[in-house]
Amino acid sequence: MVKKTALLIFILALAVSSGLYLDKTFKYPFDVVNFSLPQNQPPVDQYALFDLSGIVFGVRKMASDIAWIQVLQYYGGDEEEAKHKHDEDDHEHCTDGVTHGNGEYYDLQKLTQRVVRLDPYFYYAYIYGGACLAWNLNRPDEGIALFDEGIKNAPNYWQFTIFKMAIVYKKLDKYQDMVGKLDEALKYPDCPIMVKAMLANIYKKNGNYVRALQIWVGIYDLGQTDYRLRSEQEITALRTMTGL
Amino acid sequence: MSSAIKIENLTKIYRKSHLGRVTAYVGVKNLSLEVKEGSIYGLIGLNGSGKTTTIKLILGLLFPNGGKISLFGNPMPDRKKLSLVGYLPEMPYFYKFLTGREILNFYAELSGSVPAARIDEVIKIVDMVPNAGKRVSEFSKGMMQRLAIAQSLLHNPPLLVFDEPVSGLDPLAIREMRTLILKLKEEGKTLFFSSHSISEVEKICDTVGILHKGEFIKVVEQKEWQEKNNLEEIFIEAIKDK
Amino acid sequence: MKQILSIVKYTLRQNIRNRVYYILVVFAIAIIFVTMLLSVLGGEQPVRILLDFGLASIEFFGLLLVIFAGVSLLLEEIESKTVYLMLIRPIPKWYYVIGRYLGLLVSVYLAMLFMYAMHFGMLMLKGWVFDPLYLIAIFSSMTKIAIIGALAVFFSLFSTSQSSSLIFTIFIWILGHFAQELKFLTAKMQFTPIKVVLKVLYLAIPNLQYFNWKDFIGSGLTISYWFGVSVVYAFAYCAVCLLLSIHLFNKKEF
Repeated sequence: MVKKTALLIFILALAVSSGLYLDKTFKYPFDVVNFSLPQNQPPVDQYALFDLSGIVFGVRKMASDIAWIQVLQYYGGDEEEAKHKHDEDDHEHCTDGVTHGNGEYYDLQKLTQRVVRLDPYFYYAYIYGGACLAWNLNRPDEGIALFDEGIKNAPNYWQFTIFKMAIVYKKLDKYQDMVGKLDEALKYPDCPIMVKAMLANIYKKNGNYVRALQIWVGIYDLGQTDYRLRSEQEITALRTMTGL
Repeated sequence: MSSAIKIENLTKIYRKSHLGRVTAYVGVKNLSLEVKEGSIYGLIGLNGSGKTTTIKLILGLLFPNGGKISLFGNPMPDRKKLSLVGYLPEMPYFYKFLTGREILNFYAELSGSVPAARIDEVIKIVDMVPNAGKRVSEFSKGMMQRLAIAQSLLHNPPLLVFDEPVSGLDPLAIREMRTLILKLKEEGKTLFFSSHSISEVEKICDTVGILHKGEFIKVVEQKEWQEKNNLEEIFIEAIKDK
Repeated sequence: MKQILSIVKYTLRQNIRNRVYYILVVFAIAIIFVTMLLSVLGGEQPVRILLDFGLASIEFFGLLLVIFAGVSLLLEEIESKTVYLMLIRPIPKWYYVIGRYLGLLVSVYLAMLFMYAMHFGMLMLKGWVFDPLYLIAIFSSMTKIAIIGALAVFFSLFSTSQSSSLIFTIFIWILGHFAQELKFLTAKMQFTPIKVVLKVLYLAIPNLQYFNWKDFIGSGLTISYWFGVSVVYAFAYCAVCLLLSIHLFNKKEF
């Protein structure tokens, strides 16, 4: 009986001491959000319960992925208010040259924020959402806001700063500086294809067909992606224009 | 002859608590009995008289409120001394996804130092050879009983405690059980069992104890019911006065 | 000790032959395949979707298996009286509790490892570059399952009802992932009695976030010696639950 009690006390002491040690040393990678503050309210009310469920069941990343799929479905679908039908030759309304739908997508920032609040380390989502907002939808301030959130959560991830600077240059109409920054971002292996396509179209619009062709060839070489067909078309056109 | 089981002033009170109210009822009260080594002792009584309670107290499945129990002179509870006992419960239950042989292998491993040949031996003793490889979920009541007896014999214990061993068996199975019990006695084993079936008890027991409402009221030796009245009359007489 | 291994072996055998176990495993495998299809919806992030959904699904199924099997592990045997023939063997009662618990874990881990192997194969087919944190994520999910399994066994003996044990265990699973938020709330609380209650609750429930590595892949959280302490914490927590379970089991009458 004495041995059993001593064993229980020892193991209890081990559990308590290791628990207290972990309480002090474990750095939880996700900031705990004070939802009582107005600025910390969930970005999309209708999904608040779902997002909370993702946190309490310990599946934040999966919840973030579901939110991401919802972003792509939202951005990839036509908005009801959009009046015009998409024309194969008309890509003026989206800078990346491959439309994901017709509409203004006013909720894109909030939906992307939802994704990155669930997983602040989902770097791709910041870049994709921020670039779409800044260049495809011409709402640079929303793009900057998203990148600011990324910089706050991952200050060592330099791409966010690069993109933010590119958007600032866009706002200031400093074309060369803007494309310079975007070119810098392209060097990173996880740069979204959408951003590459977007930069290629910017170059093309501004007459730099050679650089545009280089980027589209790079996209083509990535293999079977959503941009494969588009890249084939652009390469054909740009080769004619450049004589290469 | 020394005692296989010795019980002195054993008491067990069941307490049930419901919505703050505690109800107590007596399982057994001041029970004393002695089972001689090498004998067959039958414990009889009406339903709820305390037969199964007594058996469970002996085996440590229940904890007494008072009294002493010893097995072959060893005070109980002592889990190591359970190696001296083979138990057949009233309604044996086994893991339904295992086969008969796997069940016996399992209990043999738990009992420790049971040679592999012994498992085949007990399967033969209980006449379970054609069914040993079947899953327990496919067993009939009779086969379950055979398996239950087999597991009680695995480690060759000197004392066998059977709770209602003939309950629910057909006449042929009852006869087989009787033959087995007598055979085990011939091997020098001590048998202690409870039963409703007075006719079976009087055929094989050396001594009979009568329980009524948790109290031990009479012990009857074989000579008494053979010479005087039959056991049923002795039993009815004994409980009538209480 | 050999007897504990026997109990583990036969518990595993029982579970593997149980139709419910098979159905859950087959269902989980189907979910992994569905995950493969879902990954297509992730745009340029199919590998991430497959990784996250796969790890979460496997952990979820491990949880379902361990909770449902854990709450009924001992209770069912006690109710069906199968336990009698175990208890009259000359082995200490704690062998039975520990053996059944370890057998339960081995059964669940076997199913999880099979699913992880399939998941790993699918990831490699998708061109995923192996990250050692994947193995850490597997290890930590299994640690969570061990803690929840120990709790399920404890609650089944404490409450003696399968449904209330189920509810308690699931509740602790949720609270365990909510631990950081609970700590935050405790710090913000002004009313002392509630603050004390919350603090005790925070310390008593297992902080499952220490073992949520599947959510930390990509977060930059690195392994350091606190990881070893978390393993000690998990072991000690399981041991406390099992010791309490053994105490309850020893006091039980049958």
